[in-house]
Amino acid sequence: MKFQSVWRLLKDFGGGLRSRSTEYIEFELREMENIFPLLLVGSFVGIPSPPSNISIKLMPYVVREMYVMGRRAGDMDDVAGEVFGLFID
Amino acid sequence: MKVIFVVGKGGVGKTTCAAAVAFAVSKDHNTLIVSLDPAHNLGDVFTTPLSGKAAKVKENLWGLEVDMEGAIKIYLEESSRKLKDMYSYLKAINIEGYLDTIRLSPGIEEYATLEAMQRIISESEGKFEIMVFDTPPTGLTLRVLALPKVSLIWGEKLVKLRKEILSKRLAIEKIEGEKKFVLEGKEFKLSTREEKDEVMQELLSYMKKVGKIEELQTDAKRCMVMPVMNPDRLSLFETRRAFDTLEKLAMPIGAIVVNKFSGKDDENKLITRAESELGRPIRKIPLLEGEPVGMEAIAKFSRYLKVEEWLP
Repeated sequence: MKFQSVWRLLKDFGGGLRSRSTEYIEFELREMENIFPLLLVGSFVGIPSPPSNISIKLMPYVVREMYVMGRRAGDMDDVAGEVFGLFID
Repeated sequence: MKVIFVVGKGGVGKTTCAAAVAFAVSKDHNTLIVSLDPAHNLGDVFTTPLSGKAAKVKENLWGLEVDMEGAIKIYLEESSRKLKDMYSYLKAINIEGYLDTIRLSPGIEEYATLEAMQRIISESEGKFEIMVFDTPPTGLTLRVLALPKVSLIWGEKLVKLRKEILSKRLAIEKIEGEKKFVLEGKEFKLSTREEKDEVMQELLSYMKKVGKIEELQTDAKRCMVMPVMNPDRLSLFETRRAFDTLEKLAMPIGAIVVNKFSGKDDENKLITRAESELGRPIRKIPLLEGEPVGMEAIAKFSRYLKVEEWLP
């Protein structure tokens, strides 16, 4: 019983370390996944965009990125919170 | 296969010149002439009804008129179907509204024209030795011809960004294991490798397709632009501007055809000026009495072009 508790503690600790180590990469990844569709549909908001045929061809495959972009737009009022959150436990 | 693009200002006689070039080269080569102009009259020039399927005009010469309205419709329908399938999971994005906007957005005609051109060139590979494109007026044609280069530049940037996304996903996957993304009950596996990433594969295959067109456009042994102008100043100005763009795109330019030349002094002066400014051989087509319509008239017209002297 004791052994199992210690094992679970170590496992949780390992999981915590792993998730800490990827936090920054995940933040960068979210930013890139946000920028990618922004470029594709950017012409709607005045951002330089690739020719529409490239956007139309890629749109069916960027569902995840479009979702991330929508979420990022929703979180825009607390960007500082998100950035500082990376440094606080 | 060799490709000749006949370009020029609206109303200068591009279709007649394209028909004459195609007629001349078809004596020794199996030739296809394609009208990309939304306002077709290639069939009228040959007095042969033409459609979206290649039809025989005479021995060794085939013609077709691309239905541009239809091409745009097909292009948008294909894209809409794929988009609707995927985005049914993402109700927050008003995809119907997006598609309606795309339908009306500037540039769609150019993309559809390029798609049609790509399709015809790839389908004609091995069937025809020479293809002659009768193009829409200069502005639209130059934008279509510039599209492959612009698309390649953007494609390279997007590939670079995508590579970074995939490498970051892979780094996370190595530490935390495979990641999945669930949206409205549908599970998506996040791709981490280029060969399994649909975005990357679509980008690379599109760049390959567009790269082939760009390669063809800039190869002087396989491609030639034949500008057509009238002996007037406006026509010369437009041809000069077209030259600038074509040179930026590194497209080989052949002889310049000056159509409807009546032999007046002013016109002779303008032709001398055009010759020195543009630095290309000039073929003068006299102002003919009757309309150059029908095989006989086109045969006569084609003799003035002296195609064998300037075609690679």
